[in-house]
Amino acid sequence: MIPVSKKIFFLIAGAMVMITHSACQRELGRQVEISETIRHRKMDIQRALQQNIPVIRLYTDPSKPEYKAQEIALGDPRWQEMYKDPRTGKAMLNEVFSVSHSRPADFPLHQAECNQSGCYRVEVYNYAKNGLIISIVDINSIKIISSSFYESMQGDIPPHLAELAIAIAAQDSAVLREYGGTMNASSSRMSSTKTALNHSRCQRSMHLCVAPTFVKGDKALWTIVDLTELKVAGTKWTDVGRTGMPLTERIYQNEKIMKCYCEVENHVERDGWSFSYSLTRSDGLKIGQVKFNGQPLFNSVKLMDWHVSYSKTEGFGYSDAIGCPEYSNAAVVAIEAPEFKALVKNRDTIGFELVQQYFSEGWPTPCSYNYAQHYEFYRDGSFRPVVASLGRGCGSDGTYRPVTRISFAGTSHTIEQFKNNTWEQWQKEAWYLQSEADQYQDGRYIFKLKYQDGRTWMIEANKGQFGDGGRGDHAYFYVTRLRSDREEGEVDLPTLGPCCNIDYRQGPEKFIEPEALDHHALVLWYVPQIQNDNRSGKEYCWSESVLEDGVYKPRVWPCSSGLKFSPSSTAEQRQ
Amino acid sequence: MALLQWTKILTIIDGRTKTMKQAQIRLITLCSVLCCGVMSTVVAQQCKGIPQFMIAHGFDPARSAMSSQENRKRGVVLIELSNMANPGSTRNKSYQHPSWLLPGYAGSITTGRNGDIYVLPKANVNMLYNPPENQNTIYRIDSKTGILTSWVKIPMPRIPDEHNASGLLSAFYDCDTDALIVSTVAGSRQKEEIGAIYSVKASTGETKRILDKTDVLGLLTANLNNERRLLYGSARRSEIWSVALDASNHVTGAPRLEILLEGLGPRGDDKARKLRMDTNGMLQVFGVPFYYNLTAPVERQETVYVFEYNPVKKVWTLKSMN
Repeated sequence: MIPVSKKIFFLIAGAMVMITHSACQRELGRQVEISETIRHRKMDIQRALQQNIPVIRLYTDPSKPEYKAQEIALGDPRWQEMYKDPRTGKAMLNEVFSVSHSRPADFPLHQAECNQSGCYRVEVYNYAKNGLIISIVDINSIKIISSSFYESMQGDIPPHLAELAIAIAAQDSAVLREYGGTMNASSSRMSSTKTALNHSRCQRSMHLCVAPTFVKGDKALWTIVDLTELKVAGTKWTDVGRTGMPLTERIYQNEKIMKCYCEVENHVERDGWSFSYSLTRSDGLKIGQVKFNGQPLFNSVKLMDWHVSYSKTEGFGYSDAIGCPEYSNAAVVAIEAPEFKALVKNRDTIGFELVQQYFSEGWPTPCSYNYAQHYEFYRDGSFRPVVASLGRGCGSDGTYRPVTRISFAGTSHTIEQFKNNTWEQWQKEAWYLQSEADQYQDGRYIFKLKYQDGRTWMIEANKGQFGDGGRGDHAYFYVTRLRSDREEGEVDLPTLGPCCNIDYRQGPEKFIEPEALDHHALVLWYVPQIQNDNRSGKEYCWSESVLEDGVYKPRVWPCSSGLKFSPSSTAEQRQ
Repeated sequence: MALLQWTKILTIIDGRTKTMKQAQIRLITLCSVLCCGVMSTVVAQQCKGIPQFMIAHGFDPARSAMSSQENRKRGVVLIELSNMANPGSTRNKSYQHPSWLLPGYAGSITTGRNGDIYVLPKANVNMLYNPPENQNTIYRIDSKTGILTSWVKIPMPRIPDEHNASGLLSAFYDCDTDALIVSTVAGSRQKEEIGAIYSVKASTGETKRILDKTDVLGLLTANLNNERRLLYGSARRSEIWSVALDASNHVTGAPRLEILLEGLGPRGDDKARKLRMDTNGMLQVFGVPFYYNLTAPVERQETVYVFEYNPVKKVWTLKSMN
């Protein structure tokens, strides 16, 4: 293979923020036809991982001096830790990026004795650790002059990776859609277009990324290609020649989320359901004006806070708001767009869900967090707001207490609790803790809500029966009046309460006076209590980094929580 | 950083510049071993006083510092380090007066000529301990008594809210004018940049606005080519600007772009959190990601970029990053 950069034409295309409308379109149906290039790449990776030294080599001809230099550098016994994960012994993926004559600046003064003609600089990228080994070797004396590892450095990629990046971009359906035409990667580097390859950063995933840029007229389509996962991580149109911030993973993700979900309200009509949704600055993904078959059910549903406390250290924990990645009060932010997915049970589609995830930087490293919201909409009119932690947190003694607020549509409701084998109406604002001793109508329903027009919605408590891996909520229920004369959560609220109260004081109690409920619009606050677990085979609210195909990937054990609303007619049919 | 390490890292930077914009290439040149000397056309200020309370509490001022970053501690803490060159080294001892909790979680800490210490509030993860209305309040620890009190409230056009929890972000004690220079972004929103820079007379607390409609994350004053200038890092862009100041901290010229951080470092989107001039006149830029939210990564994402000023070409040259 011919070394590095000379064959690659670097064109500097400046960036100007200009996400097009289509950038907000959901990327369902994205298809990447796996080309021979990508298939070969995957085979190269698997071959490398089978070797004792799991490295994709740049030189294979033993007669070349560069090959000798490469092999001397790879034989450095100090880099065994770059080849195998010390815990599992699994191979980490490495690749030689360049072998070149060393430069004067490579030599500290005390090492200047290295014979220049035999001295080579070898750069090896470690995909698992996202860092670069730079070794200076002398092929005449077969000696390693110096060798160091630099975290978060990537170096210049070799030509075959540049070609691979362009091929991935040129075959991605979303890129093609954005570009508005076919790009043939094999046709002399897109002779009909001007292509450039810029550096990019994938700061969040810590992957190797570059940005092939396709020029069309006076515009340039930047494409972030993730060479660790062999996929496109984002696209953006820019004006050619304009200076500005280079496109990176974080910039792309933030701009898209802000533009498409934080600054606008989106509307959905599907399976009899209609609602709006948007990301808030501190209350997660909020759905509003929720109707089923035209009948209003909820003013809004949102996730106010995540309280996490650790039992081994009193008062230690966090109170996290979730929401928009910029200009927000969120501590754990949305970096990917909300997604619609089908709800399938026994191979039947029974509805759909709207899913939003939130990430801490560095997740799933210790003390970082990942949260998820799933709004489940069933064709029979049932609705379930599910919230889950995907770990990992600061310890295995954590209890998560997410605070969901559900504001019912209409002006007058009554709420009843199943007790003593009958339904008892709540008269005043109050809270209630779900317990083992609770009674449930038909083994399911703990509350029911009646709307002014006579409709009744049954509220099913979570005892771990929903088939999503949840183990039950042991939840606090709070019922308060919806006040028009004061702000009690209809708009974004700052953090409601501290991390570490282990009783009912999770925030909503502030809105309990207690006032009479009768003939007023009501709000239900729901706070499950979920204990995490890291024991092997019993993991819950947990995540780990595991080596797969030579790179670290998160493995998650979510803990799902949430009650379920069903129209009484549906509930009766279940009996 | 040792010269040996510098050399290796700088050769990598050289490779990277091939892919950077021309504006950056102009600013970033390879530092060879031969040109890593110091050109002292930039004059750093050195007038920090010694807080008397440190000595009274038995702390060695040469090894001690005020910290707002101690694990699980609110407010500020006096620490004595085992190795002053390494802020992460073992704390020989620590002390916290009860009044030092008043700001809630704290951010920037600056010491004045007489040893008084100025503390800015900074929300951490949430606003529970940092009421929005206090986020533009400068707190002062009296050098003699060691007691922290609310000192000066910088005007707020809008109280921090769900769009932006921050108020004051940076402080720099200016020896020339005996004034604290602070930046605030209180009330700024995504599409409304209404931050400002103020100077506050240390002796009287008299407050004067230097710049407006500018969100600034880090700042300092320095003499560049015998001209007194305020250098400031944008909170919104990876840029460092400067503006000329007279002896009374009035702006006397138009802002000038000094340094672009775009594409530099492991993240490529750093903003200048803190600017400091070392004793050799080298500008240290502490670069971090900043997006007007309350994220608090466990592993501090910070790179220190060191720039040298070339008085002839009037450009800054990146010398190292670590």
